[in-house]
Amino acid sequence: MIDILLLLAPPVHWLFSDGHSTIWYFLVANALVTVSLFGLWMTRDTDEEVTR
Amino acid sequence: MNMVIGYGAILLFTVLVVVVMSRGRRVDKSMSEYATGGRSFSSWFGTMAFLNTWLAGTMFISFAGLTASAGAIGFYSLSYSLLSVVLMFFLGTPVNKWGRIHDLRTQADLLGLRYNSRSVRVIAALIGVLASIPWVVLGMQSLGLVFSTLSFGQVSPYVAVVIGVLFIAARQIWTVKLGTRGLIISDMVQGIFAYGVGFLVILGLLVWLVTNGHGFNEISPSLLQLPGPGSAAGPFYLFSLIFTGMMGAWCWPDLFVRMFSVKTPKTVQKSAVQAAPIMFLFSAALTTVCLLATSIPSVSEAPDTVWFILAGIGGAGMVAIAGVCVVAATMGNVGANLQAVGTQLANDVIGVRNHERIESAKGAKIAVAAITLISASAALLMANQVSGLIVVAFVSYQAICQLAPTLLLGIFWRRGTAVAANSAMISGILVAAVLELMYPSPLSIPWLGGLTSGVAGLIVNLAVYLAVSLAKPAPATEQARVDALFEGLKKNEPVSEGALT
Repeated sequence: MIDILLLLAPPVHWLFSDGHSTIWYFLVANALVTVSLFGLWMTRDTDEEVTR
Repeated sequence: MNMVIGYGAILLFTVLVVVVMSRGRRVDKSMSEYATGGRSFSSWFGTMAFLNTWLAGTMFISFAGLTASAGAIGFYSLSYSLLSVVLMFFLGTPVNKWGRIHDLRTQADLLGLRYNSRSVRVIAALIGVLASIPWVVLGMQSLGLVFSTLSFGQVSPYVAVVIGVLFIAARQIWTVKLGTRGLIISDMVQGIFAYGVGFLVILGLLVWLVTNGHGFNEISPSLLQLPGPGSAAGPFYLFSLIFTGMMGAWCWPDLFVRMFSVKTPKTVQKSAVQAAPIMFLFSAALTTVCLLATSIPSVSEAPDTVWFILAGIGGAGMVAIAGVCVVAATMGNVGANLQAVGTQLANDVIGVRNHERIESAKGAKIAVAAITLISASAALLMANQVSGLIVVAFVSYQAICQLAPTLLLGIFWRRGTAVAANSAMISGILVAAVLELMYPSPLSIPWLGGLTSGVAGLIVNLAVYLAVSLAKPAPATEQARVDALFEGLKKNEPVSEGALT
């Protein structure tokens, strides 16, 4: 949900819509989403499958 | 001599790819093995297959050109790409598990199972096929710029397009023969070159630009603006672009089947986690380098060639490497598209029409070959009309994302019905198509605050899906069948050891 808010919410786009902050917004927000995937991986449900 | 270097580099790379593909060859006699590569691949193969399917050669051309001409808004492709990776993480378990338990081969196959409906399966398959073909044709034509540049003025743009189409069509001989298994093995080689070597080239260019008077302060302020309230495009335009990209991502049949090809749901999730940093580093670096290059005068005159203009800094050798990066990325995307479209046509249109489950790979091979010939012929016939085809490709993206509610809600929500799915897909496509025709350029619709036709269609699509599902629920027996499908996801299923680890 935080990933979606960071990258999709129009007010966030408007907040960083001018100047060098646009570049840093995209770089930082996308870096956070990348890191969040590692968080999802660490907290995933591991009770999932058995390899024969 | 420069042309020999350029064309020779592409020839050498192609030989390398074919040799690696052939060494990993196995005979996939059954349709399932041909379509899924035996569900045997490890996470790194899954990662590279996803990247090589998603990040097409046009990243270096059209997307790079968009940043070079429109500025920081070009970062939107990175945003929706990463959101699609997040979606991949959550889709991994149901898609991979249902695929393995029910021997699913295609996206339409999964929808047919989920909704227990032949019409949902056929409509989804046809949308996927019809939306994919313009992108295959464009992918083939995009190699024209590569062959034109690498000829260093020796070949006209038209002849270069013809060479590019014939080259990529010939490459598909191995796609037809080796199916998904061959594609995924080749994705590894192509991906390492396109995004590994490509990233190194980008880093070198970044350093050169910053140290030669093309830093962040030299970017024109007009290129550092995003559309907001009061802008011409509308306040919701950027949201629409990212949302359409995210929702459309897993609607593409070629990308979706990648989740069937790896061993387990955990492998899909691991592939997503591994893909995210590669995608972030590569796409962020490429977009940044294109943004910095806007202060070079020749770039603003021909933004689509920004990748090759920058590579020219390093001489003919660097241009040749840049060209191979584009070819490597294009090979993965075009091959995956053709394979998925051909298989879907055989499995979900012809098979359903003939009331049979196709078990032999022969039908799919014939379909992939036929689609390749049709696409190559269309690409050659329209070699002088690339701009017209881009419009068709844009429309096809607005159409393909109309699969999203049926696909995503079908996977995550038990109450969606076949009637709702059919009504939603058809109404969404009709709304998107009418609005697209009314507002073809720019894509945003002024009275909707800059929403694109695809998002407007999605809103109607979603509303119809929810309304019909809730107003006319599935019969008790059908609901029990769907419940059993979802309950099956909670069970621990034994999985076979894959061939490739």
